[in-house]
Amino acid sequence: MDGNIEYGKPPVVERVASLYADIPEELFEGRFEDWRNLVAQHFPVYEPLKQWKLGFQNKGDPKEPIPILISSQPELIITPRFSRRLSREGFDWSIRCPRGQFTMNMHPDPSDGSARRYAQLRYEFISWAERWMEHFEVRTIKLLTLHYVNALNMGTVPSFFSKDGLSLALPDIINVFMNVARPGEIIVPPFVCHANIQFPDKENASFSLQVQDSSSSPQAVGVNVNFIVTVQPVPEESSIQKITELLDWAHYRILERFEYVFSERAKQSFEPVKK
Amino acid sequence: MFIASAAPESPPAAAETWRINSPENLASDTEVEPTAFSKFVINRNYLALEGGRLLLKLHKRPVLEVNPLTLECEVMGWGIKLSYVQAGEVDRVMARRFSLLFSKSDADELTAEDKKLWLSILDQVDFTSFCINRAAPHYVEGQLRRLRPDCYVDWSDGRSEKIAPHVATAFSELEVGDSFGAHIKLGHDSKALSVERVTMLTSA
Repeated sequence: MDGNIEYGKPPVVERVASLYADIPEELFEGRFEDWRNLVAQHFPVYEPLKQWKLGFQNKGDPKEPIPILISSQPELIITPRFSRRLSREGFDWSIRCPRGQFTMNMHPDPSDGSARRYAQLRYEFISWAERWMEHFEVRTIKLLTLHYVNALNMGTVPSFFSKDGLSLALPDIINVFMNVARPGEIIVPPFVCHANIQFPDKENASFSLQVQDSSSSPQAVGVNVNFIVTVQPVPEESSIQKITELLDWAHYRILERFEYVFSERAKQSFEPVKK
Repeated sequence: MFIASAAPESPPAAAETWRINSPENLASDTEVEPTAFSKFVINRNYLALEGGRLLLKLHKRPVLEVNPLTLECEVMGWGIKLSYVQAGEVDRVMARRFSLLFSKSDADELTAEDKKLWLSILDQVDFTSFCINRAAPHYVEGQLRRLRPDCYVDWSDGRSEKIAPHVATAFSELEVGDSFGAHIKLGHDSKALSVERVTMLTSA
């Protein structure tokens, strides 16, 4: 995935592109129903997300913080979400659009589970982002993010699992946990890592690597490797053409890191194809 | 089912496959009321009516009380009960309840129970602004005294008014001294909020 290499079976299970902007609440609420009608023609399933939020603060020793409940009232955050399929049937494409945010989530093709390509996300995202900006009178973009989720599980990296399927040779897949365990030792869950990188030649952008344990049970071991590029566009970069360029830039930064983070052996298992 | 997070939704949380692990142990520096985790403020300051053409401003954000045993949710002071699954549609249900009671009130068909609920809802919404925004425009006549930089109109009832720039664009074809008729909507202080269907009564 360095631009010259494509993979036949990359472990990418989700690609998410988002734009963030300031939209006055009155304007958003006044125009949301029209937006909903427009989006629903292409994303007919409306399943708003509900987040029941409690506030916590870490207090005490920074090395061993204690999460303290903040006394302010808990919140219910409702996020409008439109999809092409019901969530219980597995996601296909989806759009999230709470006030000030436009997000498009692209999943593998539900018909055969094959991975979709960036070009598909790029086309759909830019097309809908342009409509979103026009509909809600967005002139300035505050933030652009591109996020790829790589799922390491029995389905995507079977050759790195033990025969009983209960342990995953994670240090052989990603270079993050290399040289932690000695030969004969095994790394046990949770597999967690979070590192951010600042780009010296683009100070308004950053890359984040987040490794999350996604095991649903001891019998279903899994790890998600998240690549997230965040860009804070300068005001002149808020045109749809500039946003497209920034999105491409973010995509290529992720391709670079994909090559760094995944081991050669893992990349071979993803079936590389020279372009 | 419940998601705990100290910060507003961070960009990565927009992924469907993103996981937020709730902390296993929590501490509180104050005494925790038994109801501390059952009342949630809904992130809404407006309710959209008539497809968003009309907005109902809420004096304060509504509160949803969750019964931890049945997971039934109640919008406090609105007489609305709905299941946890339906909570994502709470704003639509509230808008419908308001519209229903408003219609009944307009037709003088409120029952004693309805009246109690209607008064409770009126305490929580900006009903005056709602009535102003909902009112149909009415016909008035006037004369344009000045258009730019500030627009002034002398109304036929003897009042003079400085018209807000975004409202004054409706007079862009008129010249100073033109008499006109128009349909206007008035705000709190009897100032024109919008002007439409402008007709020239004389031409200069």
